[in-house]
Amino acid sequence: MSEYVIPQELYYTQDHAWIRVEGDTIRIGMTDFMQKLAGEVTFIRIPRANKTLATGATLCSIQSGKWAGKVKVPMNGTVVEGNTELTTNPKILNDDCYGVGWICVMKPDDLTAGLAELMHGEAADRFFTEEHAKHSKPE
Amino acid sequence: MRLYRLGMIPWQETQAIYHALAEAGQEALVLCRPASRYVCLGFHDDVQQEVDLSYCEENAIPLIRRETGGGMVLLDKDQLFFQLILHKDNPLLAGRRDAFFQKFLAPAVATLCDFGLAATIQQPADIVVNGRKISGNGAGDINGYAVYIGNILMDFDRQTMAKVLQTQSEAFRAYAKQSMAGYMTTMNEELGYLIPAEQVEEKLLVHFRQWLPSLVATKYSPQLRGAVEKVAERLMSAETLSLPGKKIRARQIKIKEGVYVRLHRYFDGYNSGSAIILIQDGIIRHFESINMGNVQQYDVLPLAPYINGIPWCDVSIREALQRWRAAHFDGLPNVDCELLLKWIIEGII
Repeated sequence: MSEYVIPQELYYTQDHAWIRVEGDTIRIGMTDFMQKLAGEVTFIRIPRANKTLATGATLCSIQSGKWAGKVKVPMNGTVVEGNTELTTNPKILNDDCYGVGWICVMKPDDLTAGLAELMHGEAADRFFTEEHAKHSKPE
Repeated sequence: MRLYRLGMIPWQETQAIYHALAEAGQEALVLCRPASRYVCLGFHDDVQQEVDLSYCEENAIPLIRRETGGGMVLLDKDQLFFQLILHKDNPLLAGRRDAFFQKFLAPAVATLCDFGLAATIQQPADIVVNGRKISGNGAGDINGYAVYIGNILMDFDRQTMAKVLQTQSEAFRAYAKQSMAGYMTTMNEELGYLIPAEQVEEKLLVHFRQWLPSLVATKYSPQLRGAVEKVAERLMSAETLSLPGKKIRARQIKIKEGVYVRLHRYFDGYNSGSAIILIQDGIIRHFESINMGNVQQYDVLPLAPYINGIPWCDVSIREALQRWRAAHFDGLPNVDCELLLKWIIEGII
């Protein structure tokens, strides 16, 4: 596992989604760590706007090589916008996972309660340090 | 870790079983075969693009979608399935997702070698014998579990596989079938006889036990079967089958790792035709134009020798087109190489 970028200001889930708070909405994407673990992304099934989703449901699914992965919904809410650019150019998730490779914007039912369940700051650092150690073990 | 040796079971259970185990939070190895043939879509396949639904309906071939990667396949009783369900934190999974295929496929490679076949892994996830694919594989995340699935082709019905493909052209279907014959093989074809599945399974289990010594034979309980049947209903539902999938402008069929056959349509407002292209490891191995004899007043039939054997990229194809034009049409104004380049590269005009 090579080096990876984990922006301090973001919130994270255990399945490697990142969450950026933007007013009363959240922008969601996949972490640099996970995109490197997955390899070149060849397809993303993004969520439709106006879809109401519960925490833990599948937010989107991702294909890389013969692996099909999923990103789960980080908190209850409604999809405001999916990044349709990913449909035609999924590689931007690899190239810029915290920028143009974002996955969707959601309006949470309860932002404060939702954020309380996510990892942030030192807790996120600890999580990624453990993940890195796990995936850097010699074969 | 639990071992489910299920033998031949109803076709839909062969896919639903590993979803149900992951959803129940059980690590396991499953060995099984389907009692009858069916079409299985990869998680991100587009059903309309990939499957000739009329043929499947007329011939009572059912469909299911799995939540793992890889492409659409025809599966039947002459394929032995091996499926491994591991929690995402299992230390066996360290490293990149595709790298794990090396470990996962090793028992199947050893099994084929036991029968005298020179099997090797073609990265990332094919097993080949003398360069021909003998095993198809995929992987996915289901409920926090990493699921790796594979099969050994004891035999393979290429005739029906070619017919369940949505090809848009009978010439393309015939070429896809021919390519499957050239780039795929089976134990039956390599050995000259069909080995009983039980013998292959026995060897496979020996090699899995060497890697996973903690396997404990477990009964297929009525509770698990009930859960499997529920999952199967979901995977066969119209809602699941019609999930949006990966769209490709040209029709493309992956034959094995690095080998693709493509159908490229041409229509310039007056003339229509197509090309069948086989690409192997980035090189055009076969180029064939169909009904393109009189496009823009020039004959594209002599184009093939210029295209065959060159890399499948803009620069090489542009150079080949210029050589072809210089040799056959020097001085003629109507030869539009850029249009032909677009047709050969992008797949549709």
